[in-house]
Amino acid sequence: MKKDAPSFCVMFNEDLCIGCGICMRVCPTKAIRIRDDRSFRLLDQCVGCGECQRVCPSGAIQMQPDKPLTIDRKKISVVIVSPVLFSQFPGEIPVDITAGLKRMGYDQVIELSDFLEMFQFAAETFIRKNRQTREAPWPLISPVCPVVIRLIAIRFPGLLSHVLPLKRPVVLLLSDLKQRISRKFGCKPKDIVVDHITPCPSKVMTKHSLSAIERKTIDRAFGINSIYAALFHHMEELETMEIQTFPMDRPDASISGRCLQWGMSGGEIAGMQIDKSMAISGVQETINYLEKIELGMFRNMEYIEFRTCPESCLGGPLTVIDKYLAKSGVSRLIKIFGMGMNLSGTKLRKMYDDGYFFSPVDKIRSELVKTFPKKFLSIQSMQEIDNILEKIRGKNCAVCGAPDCRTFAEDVVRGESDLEECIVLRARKCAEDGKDEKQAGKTKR
Amino acid sequence: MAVLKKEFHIHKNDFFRAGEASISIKNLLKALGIRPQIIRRVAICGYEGEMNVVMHGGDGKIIVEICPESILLLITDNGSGIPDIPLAMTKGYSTATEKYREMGFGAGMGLPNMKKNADSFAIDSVVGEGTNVRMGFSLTSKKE
Ligand SMILES: Nc1ncnc2c1ncn2[C@@H]1O[C@H](COP(=O)(O)OP(=O)(O)OP(=O)(O)O)[C@@H](O)[C@H]1O
Ligand code: SF4
Ligand SMILES: [Mg+2]
Repeated sequence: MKKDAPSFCVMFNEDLCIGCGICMRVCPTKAIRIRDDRSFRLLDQCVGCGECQRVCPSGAIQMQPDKPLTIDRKKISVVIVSPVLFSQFPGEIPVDITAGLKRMGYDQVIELSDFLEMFQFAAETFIRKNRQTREAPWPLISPVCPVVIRLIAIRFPGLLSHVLPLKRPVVLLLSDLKQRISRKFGCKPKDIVVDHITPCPSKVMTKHSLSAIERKTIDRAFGINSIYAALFHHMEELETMEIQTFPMDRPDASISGRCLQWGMSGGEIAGMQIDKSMAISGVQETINYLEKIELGMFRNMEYIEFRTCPESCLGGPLTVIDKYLAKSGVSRLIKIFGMGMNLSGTKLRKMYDDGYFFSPVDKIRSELVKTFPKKFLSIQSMQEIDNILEKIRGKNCAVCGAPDCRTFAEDVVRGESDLEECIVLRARKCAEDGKDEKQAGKTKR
Repeated sequence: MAVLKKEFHIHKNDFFRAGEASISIKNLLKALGIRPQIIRRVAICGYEGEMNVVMHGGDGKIIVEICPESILLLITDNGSGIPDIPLAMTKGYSTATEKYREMGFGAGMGLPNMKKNADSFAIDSVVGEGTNVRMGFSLTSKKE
């Protein structure tokens, strides 16, 4: 298996590829080209949404971490788990899952409940204040899904000002994580390994992680699917033992309903007291609604939770079990855990006033613009594209290796493809040549 | 001088597709690298114009002309026309039916918003024949 674009973990297996081109057509940023039937090329516009993996009928595309999961017992191993992990073992309660991770060799398991609560508090506060200050335009857009933010940067840069200028929950956790761990275990920060278990391909693409702190602090990210078998095995073994032999840390006991709900579509806004809010999931739906917001629609909405995965992170490409099954299990658990708060409001308010929750948006925006450089077209090239399209009159057959005729024409004008690649033009030319020959034959006779 | 001209049709009462023309125009402007602030204003004007044709007008079209220094948006329809233009331009004036109001339209802000967002704005209408709205945007404009 070869790794195509070094900055991303989209793995493409030429031997499995059947050259159908479905991946190319669903790519929301038109970042895929397939030449000579099966050479797959990923362009810089890849946002890591995972749609290509989802639709590939032959399993040729995988979004994977590039490091194997081995736990070094000589180091202090810490794992940050996505709330979605708790949905992947229906019938199991979160403490059993954390116990399984400890048995695998992790010294500390960190779940995000408190940080989600902090984020929701900060978001709610910002929105309430924004009603007076009008600092940011309505509707505000959730900063949580990194793929949404990249999509906005590439296709809707005019909407970047709508993105809530707050740190994502995991970033709140990371700020002084290594120091805290080294204090707790009495070790040096360099002897700590921080892993992240996630349903989200955008977390395994380390270079494009949204913030410097993630690149700096998280050493390795693994999909839930790549640790599932091992974890399952350890959980099963635990079941046959006396549970008391595995001491449970207090933090594990504080997992809240908010955390469990987080991975569901609407799970972010469910923990916030904002009436004029809505939740949208799926890449195509996300794009449709971003288009509409750009037309000035939904100005009466205050907050929109966008997730590019269908049914939100429970439908993340690196999950294992069916998303609706996961949702059903989680809904049951929420009833047990409730949606209460763990943290003190006074303390949170003080943190908010101290600026603890705010992210350096300007810096992030300029970084995003650098990550996704734009290749604009001139009016002349646009006219050339129209001329080519007029000449082809194609059916978006994608034999040329581009997702549709327009993208092909753009590639041609940019000098990245050759008009000769168009099979429709070639066929028409052949037919005309044939006619000429026939006619020439006729006149001879 | 290079000018890019595109035309899109708008159909009476075709709610489902209202906005599509403005989205296409928006994407065209993005590919050309026009500033987001300007694209935003063109998109808002295009969409309000499209909605007016769908709701109050008849069949119509929206034409966009992109020149190196400016963008021209022309929206025409063959609907019932507007009897009193100054009244129609008043903030809050609307003849939208109950059905449209329930869908969140009919605040009477469309035309005033178009005027506000465009660098130049002209409207003429003949009762029984139709309405033309013409809007210009300067690519060097500093308007936000
Ligand atoms: N193309 C048109 N044809 C006929 N009448 C029109 C047309 N455009 C606007 N009008 C009339 O002008 C009025 C004001 O238009 P405007 O766009 O400002 O508000 P609206 O469309 O009623 O509500 P909103 O745009 O806020 O949803 C309309 O209610 C309608 O009576
Ligand atoms: S929806 Fe969730 S899992 Fe999917 S890309 Fe966004 S953050 Fe990642
Ligand atoms: Mg209107």
